[in-house]
Amino acid sequence: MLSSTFRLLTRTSSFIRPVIGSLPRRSLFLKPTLVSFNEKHRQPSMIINHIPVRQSHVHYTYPMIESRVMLVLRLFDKIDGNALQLDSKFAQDLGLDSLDIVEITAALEDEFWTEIPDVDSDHFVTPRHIIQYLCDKYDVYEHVEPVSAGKEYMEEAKAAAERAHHH
Amino acid sequence: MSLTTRLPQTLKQVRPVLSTDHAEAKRRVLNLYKIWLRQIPYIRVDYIKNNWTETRLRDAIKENFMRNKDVTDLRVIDLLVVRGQMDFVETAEIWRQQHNTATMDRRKDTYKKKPFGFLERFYEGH
Repeated sequence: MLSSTFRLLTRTSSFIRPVIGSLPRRSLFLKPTLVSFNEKHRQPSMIINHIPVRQSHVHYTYPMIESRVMLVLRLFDKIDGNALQLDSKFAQDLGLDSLDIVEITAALEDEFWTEIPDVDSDHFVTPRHIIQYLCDKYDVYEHVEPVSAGKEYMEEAKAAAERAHHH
Repeated sequence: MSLTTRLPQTLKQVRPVLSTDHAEAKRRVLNLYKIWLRQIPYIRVDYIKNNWTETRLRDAIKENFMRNKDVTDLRVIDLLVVRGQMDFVETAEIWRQQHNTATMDRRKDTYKKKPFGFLERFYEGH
């Protein structure tokens, strides 16, 4: 962590150099501080006392949601990691009761920085349901087959265009 | 919507305490479990003299809930949920004593149990 402060200071000192005439000399020899003193060029990874914030620009994809959910489930010690599949039921295959599902839901809430009400967590039977619920929450649909009405519409539109072309 | 309008016909003989069917009672129980789980880090800090770890608190809460898992009477379930919620409020508002470890550790129960079985009664002198 100390090396990152030095990197931060060397990077910011390169911006200070053009104004060396106006600033007093001692500002270039500042001791390493814990807070970046150059507000404009702050990068979140460089600050030491960084409070974790929710990044609003996170791009949710289906593989990312699936791997995070399976990781959280694997970390749960009452679940056997080898027996865990996408379609293994919590109650029958993995032997969990409803209190364990509440614990899992709380862990997933912590992982995804979101609230999952008890109304929805009652209907979680397999991990696939959880992943589908989170995909619906974050509007992820790349794993879903597009509705076939689109294909028929395209064919109709193509046929109508050809008819119009031939006339 | 008052309670009387929600009662199905069969329940009109016994007045419910809080919930009218098992699904609603289950929702209450799970909600109580969740708020206890969410309170664990604050319990650790508020009662810091006891040096409780997260796993130990989680096991204690789970054990307290599982002790009543065979109850089927709706009114009894509701009363247990209400009592659990009262315990939760007392724990969260730090109305308990700091050294009151009997809440989280049943092995520290100090009252003497009635002797059950021949040998125990023999030791007692019966």
